[in-house]
Order: sequence, then C-alpha cells, then structure tokens
Amino acid sequence: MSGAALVWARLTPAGRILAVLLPVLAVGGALTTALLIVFGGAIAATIGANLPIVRFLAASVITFLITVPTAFLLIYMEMKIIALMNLRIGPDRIGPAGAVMSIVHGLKVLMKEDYTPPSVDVPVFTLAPVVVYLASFMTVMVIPFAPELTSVGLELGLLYFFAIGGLGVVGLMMAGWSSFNKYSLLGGIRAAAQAISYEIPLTLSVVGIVILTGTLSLPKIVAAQSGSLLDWFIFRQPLAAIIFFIAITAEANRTPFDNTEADQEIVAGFATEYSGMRFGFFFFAEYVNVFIVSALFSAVFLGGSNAPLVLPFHPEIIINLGSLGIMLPILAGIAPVIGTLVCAAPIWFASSRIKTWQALVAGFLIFGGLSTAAIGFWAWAMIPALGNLIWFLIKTFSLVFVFVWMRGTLPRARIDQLMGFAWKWLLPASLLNIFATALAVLLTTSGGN
Amino acid sequence: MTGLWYVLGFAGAGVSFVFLTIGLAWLISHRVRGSRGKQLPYESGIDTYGDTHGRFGLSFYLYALLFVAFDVEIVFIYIWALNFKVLLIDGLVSMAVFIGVLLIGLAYAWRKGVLSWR
Amino acid sequence: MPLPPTIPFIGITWADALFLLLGGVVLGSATLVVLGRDIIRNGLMLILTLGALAGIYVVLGASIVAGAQVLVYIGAISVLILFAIMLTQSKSASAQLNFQTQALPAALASALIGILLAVALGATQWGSTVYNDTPDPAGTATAAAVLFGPWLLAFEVASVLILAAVIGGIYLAMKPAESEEIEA
Repeated sequence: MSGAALVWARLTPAGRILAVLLPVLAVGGALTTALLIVFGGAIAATIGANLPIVRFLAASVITFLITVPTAFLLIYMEMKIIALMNLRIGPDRIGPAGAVMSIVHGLKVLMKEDYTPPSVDVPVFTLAPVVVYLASFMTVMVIPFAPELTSVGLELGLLYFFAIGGLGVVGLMMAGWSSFNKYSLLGGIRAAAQAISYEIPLTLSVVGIVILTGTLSLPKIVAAQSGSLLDWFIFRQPLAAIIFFIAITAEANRTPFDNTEADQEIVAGFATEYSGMRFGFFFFAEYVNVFIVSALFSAVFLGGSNAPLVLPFHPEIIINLGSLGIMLPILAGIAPVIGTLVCAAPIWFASSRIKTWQALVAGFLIFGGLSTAAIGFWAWAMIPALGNLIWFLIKTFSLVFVFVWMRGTLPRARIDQLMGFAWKWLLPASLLNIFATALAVLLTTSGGN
Repeated sequence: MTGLWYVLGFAGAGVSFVFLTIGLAWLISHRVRGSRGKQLPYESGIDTYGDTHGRFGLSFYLYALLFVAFDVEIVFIYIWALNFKVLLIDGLVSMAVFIGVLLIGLAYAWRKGVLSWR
Repeated sequence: MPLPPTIPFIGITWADALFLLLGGVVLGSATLVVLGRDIIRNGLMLILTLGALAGIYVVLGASIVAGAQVLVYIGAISVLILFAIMLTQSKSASAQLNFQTQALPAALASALIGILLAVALGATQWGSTVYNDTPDPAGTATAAAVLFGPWLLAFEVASVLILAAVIGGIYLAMKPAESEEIEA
C-alpha cells in the first residue's frame, strides 16, 4: 500500500471531503483569478453595457433567496410561538431554541417518497403545485421592500398582484380534480370558492386608496404615505384596512378561514394525495403567501418602508477609513483585544467569585454586541435603503406574528358562515368605503376650488 | 414592456426552480413499490366507493357566477378610481348607477338564498 | 458589448420575437383546446391561451387590458368554466368528448369562419397598425375619458348585461331546489 493510500485510509470522512475539496478550490480559485485578470475588463464592460439585464438577473435570484429562508423562518415562528401560547416547549433539539428545526423539516420533505398514485391524471397532478407556487412567487416581484429595493415597480402593480394571486385558485382546482379522491375534490373546490369569494372584497377594499393616490403602483402608494404616522392609510382608510385584513386572512387560508385544510372534515383537502416534494411545494407556497399578504398589508396600509417617526435631524457619520493608512490593519487587530479587556475589567473586579475566563468571555460578548450595534447604527444612518428595509420587515413580521397568534387563538369558522360573511358583509362594506371615499374627495376638491 | 420580460423571466425561474427541486427530491428520495393498499386513494381507511368525480353542491357554481359579475366590475372600477380626480361628480354618478344595477343582482341572489350555504 | 437590438442571424427585434413566441403559444394551445379529448385539460389549455393573449396585449402597450384579461378571464371565467365542467362530469359519463355526430355542421361553420378570417386578414392595412411605444398611465386616462364619456351608455348597459346573466343563471340553477321546498 502506497503512502498516499495509507494517509487516505486514516482520514475521517470530513477530512476526506476537505482533502478532495481543497485542491479543487485552490485550482478553481487560481483559474478564476487568472480569468478575471485576463478578461476582467471585458466582463466589466459587458456588465456595464447590459445593466438592465444584470439588474433583472439579480432581482430574480434575490427574490428566490428571499422566499426560501422566509418560508423556513415562518414555519419555525409558527411552531415555536404556538407552542409557547399552548404552554408547551415546542422545537428545542436542533439549533439554538430549535431554530434549525424547520430547515430539517424541509430536508425531510425533500427526502421523502414522492408517490404518484396510479389513478391520478399525472400531468395535471404534477403541474398543480407548480401553478400554486408560481402564483405566490411571482407576486413577490412587485413588493416594495424599500424604494431602492423593489424588483420591478410595475405601474399596475396592485392589479398585477391580484391578477397573479388569483391564479392560485386554478392550481388548487387542478390539484383537487386530478387527484381522483373525494377529499381532494371537495378541498380544492372549497378552496376555490373561498378564494374567489374573498377576492372581491380584497380587490375592492383598496379602491379607496387608488382614488386617493391615483395610482396602482405599489412604490408610489408607499411614497404617498411618507410623512407622519397619520399619513398611513390604516388611519385614513380604517374600514378598508379591516376588510383587507379579513380578506387576506382568507386568501392565505389562515385560521379562522382554513376550511380548505380542515383535517377533521376533509383530511388534508386538495393535498390529500400528495406526498414528498410536490406536497412540500403546496406548503412552501402557503408560507410564502403568508409573508406576501403581510408585506402587502404593510405596504398599502402601514406605510411600507416609511419610518413611523421622521427624525428632525439625520445623523451623518462620515468615516474615512482610508486616511488611517497602515494603521488600519493594526487598529483592526488591536481594537477587539483592548475592547474585550476594557469590557471584562469591571466584571472581573465586581466579584471575586467570577473566574477570569468567564469575565473574558462576557467582555468579548459585550464588546461584540456594542460594536455590532455601532456598525449597525452607522449603516442605518448612511444607507437609507437599509433603514427602510428594516422598517418594512418589522411591520411585515409583526403582521406575520398576528397571523400566527390568530392561529394559536381562534377556532375555525364554519364554511357557511365564512361564505355568507364575504358576500353579505364585506362586499357591501367595501362598496360603502369606496363611495364614502369618493364623496369625501369630491367635497374636498370642490371646496378647494 | 420591461415588466413583461420580468414577468416571463420570473415565471421561467419559478418553474425551473420547482422542477429542479422535484428532480433533486426524486434523485435522493427512496421509493417503495408497496402493496395494493398504497395505490388506493386515501379516503380515511375505507375503500373508495362510488364515483369520485360525483356531483357536488350547486352553490359553488353560483358563487363563481357572482364572482364573474363582480370581477368584471372591478376592472371598470379600477380604471374609474385611477382617474377619479378627473371624472369627479360625473364619474361618481355613473359608477353609482353601474354598481347599483349590479347590487340588484346581489340582492336577487341574497333573496333567493344563494348566499346561504346549503 | 451591449445586447444587439435584433436577434443575431434572424434579424428581428426582441419585442417582435416575444410577440411571435406568444402568438405561437396562443395558436398552439388554442389548437390543443379544440383537439384535446380530456375536457379538463382543454379547459386548462384555454387558460394558457388566455394568458399568452394577455402577454400579447402587454407587447402592444395595453397593460391595463392585459391586467383585466388575467383578472377576469383567467381568474374568474376560467374558474367558472372549470366549475361547470366539474359539475357536469362524472366517471359514469365518460370524460372523453365525442364530436362525431356534429362533423358536417362543424365543417361548414369552420369553413365560414375561415373565409371571414381570410377576408379580414387580407383587407387590413397591417403597415398602419404598427405598435408605437405608448406610456401606460396615458393609456388608462384615455380609457377612462372614453369609457365615461362617449361610451357611457354602453358602459351602463354592460352592467345590465351582467345583471341579466346573474339573474338568469341563478333562476335556472335554483329552480329544482325551490320545487323541492314546495313539495316538502
């Protein structure tokens, strides 16, 4: 046995992976560097000449990267928050406080058998989750995370949102029909009937805002709410906000409107015959939907990326790191050590029972927290998009929390109550809201003249 | 026009993502042939009985009919709302008449008991 | 280097290529709607046709029409059609369609439509209807000015038409239920 084989045999699996990966990475890195040196200018020129295309690619990739971790985060929130509300512990095994649990769930679904029952209509059965997922993924496109961070600010963004969102109904009916299962058919048709009933109040409730702003573009609607807290449409259109909230709850199939997957009545509804990843996509789409409707509510009614209070001053912290010259790496090396020691000293002096290493660890953590906060503050002050994004995410995730909270609290509505409510109460109320808004606009405009 | 490229690009990206993931799952998941029971539709442990695509409640269809009526109205009302500050009183009156006529349909449906689930 | 304005080797602009692609999808899926044997799949193909048609509207600069197309035709009317198919289909009555008994009238009708289309296509001055890039907001403003101006009567009559459809549909659908109530 040669020397190389002996070394190979003694390596752990992780070591073997590294032993293969490291040379590959080294060669790949060297090749990439060489290519960049040779063709870098040409690549930069191509990118510069095709900025719209580059922007498009970046937008699509980033939208993907948003949906996947968002869904995992939402699943974790749902598991943990409902568990805490039920006085249970919830996931606590994998990751800190079980935070990695939802990713493991995702991997589990990926590795499960994706079974196609022999009686189903295979093409329709396979395409149904695709349609459902597309209907939610494609609406992420118009969500204005921040004025600078919108994938595409379509002029008819709101109409696009409702039109594409309505496609999900077709996917649900496809799933229900093609499964050849009574529960699936009933679940699919229930889902479709519920979605179409609540789509009318949903689309009508925002008409008041369209009258006030004169646009359907989501970034412009957000811009119309800049200023003080009272400019938010939830305060100018409270009835619309209530109708809209109820309707999005129903559109996202959340409790108390989750009759489409009422386990006690119709097993898993339209997804009864699905398994594995095709089942996974239905629920992926569902969690993305919760995020999307929350994002839409915060964009349309909660001022989107606008801060609730506009600071009278704007901090400007200009740090020119380049002026430090050679001192920069030295400072970067020394600062954490000194910072840790400074933070550790008071803890160490405070009590003789605290061991030195404990004081050092605590000091390191405190210094890390402080410096992260300082850098975060600097980034918030210097990059407006970041501040806007943070406000938008705070509002959106507060709404997501409300949805989870409702699921932990409210019972399921009966389907007859649910359908009647949409047509007998929400539809007249939204029409009332439209005409009240129109009348108010009319009176104020003629008064101004 | 740019928007259309975005829409088509996103649709293409989404479809390929779904199929790549399903393909990946197909590669790494295990498959078992199973017995005859596995091939049956899952209907709570009872062998499937009768016609799967049997008749179901007519009320679903009537909801869809009402939905079409009000969906057509939504397109008009969006165009109207976008330009309301130009149309003003004339627009308000014409839209009130339009919706008033549609509400007769809703009232008829309500009276006939379509809105009450059966 | 920037992307060339036309596709290399073929020499048509990207917008035209998109138009051709969408037109191809419309024609292909429409053919499948007619020729398919499974009626649910035909309904789904119809949705694809309508979606590609919405894309063509966008290429032609009428985004609001495209939005309306997706919202009304795909979101509402297709759902209505699917409901109607699902209501009337069952395994005992085969899902396969059979048109054989209507072959002669169908042939006559399609020949007539074919002649009409040929005349219309031949008589139109296609050069004068080339799309010029119109900005979108002006599109809705014009649409509103026309809809609530000269075409106001047609607009109001449209609501009466919808009302008639709703009342007619409900009347036909609810009739048996009412007679049952009387009997009981």
